Amino acid sequence: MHSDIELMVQVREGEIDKLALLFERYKKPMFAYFYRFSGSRETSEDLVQTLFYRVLKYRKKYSGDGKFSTWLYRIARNLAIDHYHRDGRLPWDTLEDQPADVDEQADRLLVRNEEMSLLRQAMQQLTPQEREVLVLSRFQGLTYKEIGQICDCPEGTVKARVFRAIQSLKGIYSILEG
Amino acid sequence: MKRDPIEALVMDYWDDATPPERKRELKQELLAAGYTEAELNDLKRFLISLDDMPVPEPGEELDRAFYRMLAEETAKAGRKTARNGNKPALFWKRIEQQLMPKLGYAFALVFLGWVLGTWVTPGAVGGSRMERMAAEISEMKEMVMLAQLQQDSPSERLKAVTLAEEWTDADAKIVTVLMRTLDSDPNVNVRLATVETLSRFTDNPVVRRGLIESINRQQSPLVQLALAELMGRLQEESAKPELNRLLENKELNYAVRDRVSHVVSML
Repeated sequence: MHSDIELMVQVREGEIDKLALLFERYKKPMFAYFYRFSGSRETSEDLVQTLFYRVLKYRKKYSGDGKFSTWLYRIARNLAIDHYHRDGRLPWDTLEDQPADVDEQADRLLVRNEEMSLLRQAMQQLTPQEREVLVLSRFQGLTYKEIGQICDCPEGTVKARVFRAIQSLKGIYSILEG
Repeated sequence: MKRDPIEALVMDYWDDATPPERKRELKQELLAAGYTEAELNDLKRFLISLDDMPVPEPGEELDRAFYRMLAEETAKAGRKTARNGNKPALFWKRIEQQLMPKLGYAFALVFLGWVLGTWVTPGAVGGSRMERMAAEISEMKEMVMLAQLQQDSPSERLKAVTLAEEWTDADAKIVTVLMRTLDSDPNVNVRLATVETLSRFTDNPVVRRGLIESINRQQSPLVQLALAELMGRLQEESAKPELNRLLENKELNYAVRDRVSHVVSML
């Protein structure tokens, strides 16, 4: 199996159909990345589609140094910022209500659903910067070093931001919980 | 060295990979900075609870949109490469333009010599040297093309396929080679260019048949799409069984399925 870097180098060299393999590898994590921010399936799908279009557009700029995922997340981050400049709001400023799961009858699950709903609301109230580091570290499984490379800041700063984001989130959640 | 903010130490303290001894040190530092153990544990539990937040799967529309975009971009890139790939064709054209007049003069002289020679030597075997020369040039081009198709570099093979576009009527050997390229070249751009080249020879029933038979030998959605589109353009009704067989493939890409279904309905 080809590594991400090998595939992206092939895409850069003109074998652009190889992008399909990278798309299959990354569509779910990238969708999850945008979804954690936006809470909107439609916005997230549009952003993933645009992300891979940009990968194709900027393929000649791919150097092959470092992890492919770090490069991809950098583009994803810029995409979100562009989206913000265009629409005057960050993609994660539109919270979509989750459809209730009718099969979940048990009280325990209903309580859990309520907790999750509150957590989603709390996430929306974090600052974009807080949300970004929290999503990248906790949900996308990136290392602090990788996040530092994506956000152009030292590893220690990332760790501090993640901790502050957790503190803020917990504070907001407690208020929402009443 | 600049020291990390105190909050950064919490992340190391929570990290399972941090050695126990270092954890003890970090704990002391954090307690000294005013954090309590209960507070830190509470936050860690809260952090872990975030893992349960559900994320839906992306929908099929994302796949469709992506593969549509990829097919369009590949076609665009193919056209661009083919334009660059026309360089050998331009080279031959230039050779023909610059060399042919000179060859013409040379041939005229040779022809004159031959005419004089036949007068002087009655019964000598004649023949059209012009025809032979044209045949030799054509043969030479064919050789270049066949040699280029053997190259490891996909761009060389792409050039070879593009070179074949020059023939108005490809002979059986060229057709066989192009068919083999379409079915077995590892590079999808080369296969796409081959479809394009072969589409120029569709007056030849062998080519039409070969293109139809190739539909189900293709794994790349882009080539499947190109062949289906070509069958639609040619209104090739006899391609219907192969296209229907392609639709039976459960793994068929959504975008290809949409397009093939449309083509079948048009035939």
